[in-house]
Amino acid sequence: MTRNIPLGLKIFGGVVGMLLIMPTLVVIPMSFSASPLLKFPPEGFSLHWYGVFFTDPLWSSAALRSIQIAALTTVLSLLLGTGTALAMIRGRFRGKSPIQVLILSPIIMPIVVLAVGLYFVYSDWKILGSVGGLVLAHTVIAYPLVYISLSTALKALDSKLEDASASLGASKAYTFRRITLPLITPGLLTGALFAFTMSWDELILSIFLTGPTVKTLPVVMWDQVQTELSPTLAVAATIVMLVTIVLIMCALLIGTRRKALKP
Amino acid sequence: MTQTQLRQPLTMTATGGELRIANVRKSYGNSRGVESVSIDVRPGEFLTMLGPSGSGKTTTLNLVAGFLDPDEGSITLDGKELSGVPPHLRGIGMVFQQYALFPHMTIEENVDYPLRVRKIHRAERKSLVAAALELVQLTDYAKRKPSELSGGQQQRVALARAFVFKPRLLLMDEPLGALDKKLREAMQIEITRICRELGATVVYVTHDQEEALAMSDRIAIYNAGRIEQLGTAEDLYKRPETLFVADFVGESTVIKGSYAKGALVHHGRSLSTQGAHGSVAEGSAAAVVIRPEDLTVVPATQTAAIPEALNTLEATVTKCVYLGQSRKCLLTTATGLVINARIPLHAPPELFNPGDSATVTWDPANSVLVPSD
Repeated sequence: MTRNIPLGLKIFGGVVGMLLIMPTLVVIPMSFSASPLLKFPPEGFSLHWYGVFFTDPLWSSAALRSIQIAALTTVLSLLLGTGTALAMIRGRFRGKSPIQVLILSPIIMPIVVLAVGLYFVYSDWKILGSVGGLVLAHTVIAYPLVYISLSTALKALDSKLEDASASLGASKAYTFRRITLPLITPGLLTGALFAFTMSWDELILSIFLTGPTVKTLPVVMWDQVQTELSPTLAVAATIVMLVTIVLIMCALLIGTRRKALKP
Repeated sequence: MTQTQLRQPLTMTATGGELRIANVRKSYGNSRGVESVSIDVRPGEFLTMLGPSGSGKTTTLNLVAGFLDPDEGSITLDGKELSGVPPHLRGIGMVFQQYALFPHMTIEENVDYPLRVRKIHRAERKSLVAAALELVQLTDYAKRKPSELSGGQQQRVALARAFVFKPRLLLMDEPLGALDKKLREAMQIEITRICRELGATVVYVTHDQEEALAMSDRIAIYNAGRIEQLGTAEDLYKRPETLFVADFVGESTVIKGSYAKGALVHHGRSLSTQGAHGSVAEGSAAAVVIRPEDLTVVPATQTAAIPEALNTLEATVTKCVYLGQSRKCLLTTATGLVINARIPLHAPPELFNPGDSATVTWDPANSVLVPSD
């Protein structure tokens, strides 16, 4: 639907949009800088800092670590989120509303509060600075996203299909594998992408919970911004942004495809 | 059980099973439950459960399918108790109101599904699916997805999928509810034909009485969780046993009063029930039911010609509607009773205008006497 929007409003909208996106995009030209100093506007053009990013163990191992933690967070969130969504949508029990609030509370609560709490619990359990600890922490905030995405998919799935499958002779497990799972796969993928993205650029929990040996990419960027301002920081920012944009685009594409599939 | 059943020769016919529902009760706390429902469905019979929504007919169907467990009573198929058997082990085919086709599978895969579940050999599956699709005349649509088919076609796929594994019993829950009137009538004929060819026992649920009358061998009339009457269409129309059945099936005029000495006393007026179908206790509240075609309406000036044996009531025309073959006339008596009559097109014109005085007469032998509340 296109409506006639007054020119003035169009310009205003354009300016607001630019103001929102420009600070993000500014890192891209800075990442191609030829100067050893991080500044805007950049001087010259070179791919030198991209080389540094991929060869310097500080950066490359942090990037790999981030991928590892995001991937593990995604798997754990999917398992927990799918189970919870199935129980909440298909199950018959009382008190669903308070449970729902509890499930969603990590994305409403200030993350810094969660970070402080986890810091003390983790130091007591001696898992500060461990990969597992960080994965657990990220799962706390990523899992509600999987839950939302999957419960939406399950609500849209007609439960009569599962009844029909049973009447045709299929056991509960067979029905889940052949009917339920294929039909909620788009929701599952969307949830997975959101969970991965959430962990991928998470900084607050990571600052509190990482140690000297286990550092994620955002944490290294945070360290660097306080010590040496090299253009490698802009490279890291660009790469974080590109990965995030690609993942979100995938999630949006899955969303539109799901709508197109509806009869 | 179903494994051996499927090792039959490659025809689409299955012998119908015998379903017995005995004293089944299911309560929900609110309404929609059933109280003490008993039906014996004969092998190969097409039985319809008809009633207003919330009267318990779908609940009964879900109890038979296994989606609900009865609080009391037993449900047996060919002598085997079904209560406690999970739905997927009952071997009962079911057609749902909203088709419930699997959207991610083609038509062929949908129909193949119950066969795959049963691990039937590939070659046999292929020929069974082909035969089922041929029976519902959708062979050309085998490779399409459900969303590419019309509502009527989707319902035929659902039907094929429900009978391809040769269930001894086929349940249908308002299968035509989502279709428009014209398509519904065509599908009624189609479903009846297919079910006759299959020979399966069918239990069909609908709230549309025309549909029930057109398709069924017998009809069970549901009201408030109970079966009011079970019988053929003619039984229900000509010989209703309760006021609800008389009122629900077809149109009628209901005259309430008390029964005494072979007559119904209605506001001081004695109306003969000589030869009427049905009986009630002397002195009890009763009602006489008369179908519109059994009533004769004559102008108030021509009452002299009415034979002595007929009942008469004076009334005023309130509304007349032209129906093509006849006119439907509503009249009201001085006591406020509404009479629903048919008047032939050649009847005197002074009967069709609101306010015209008329006398309604009927042969007591054509009326039905039922208990009233």
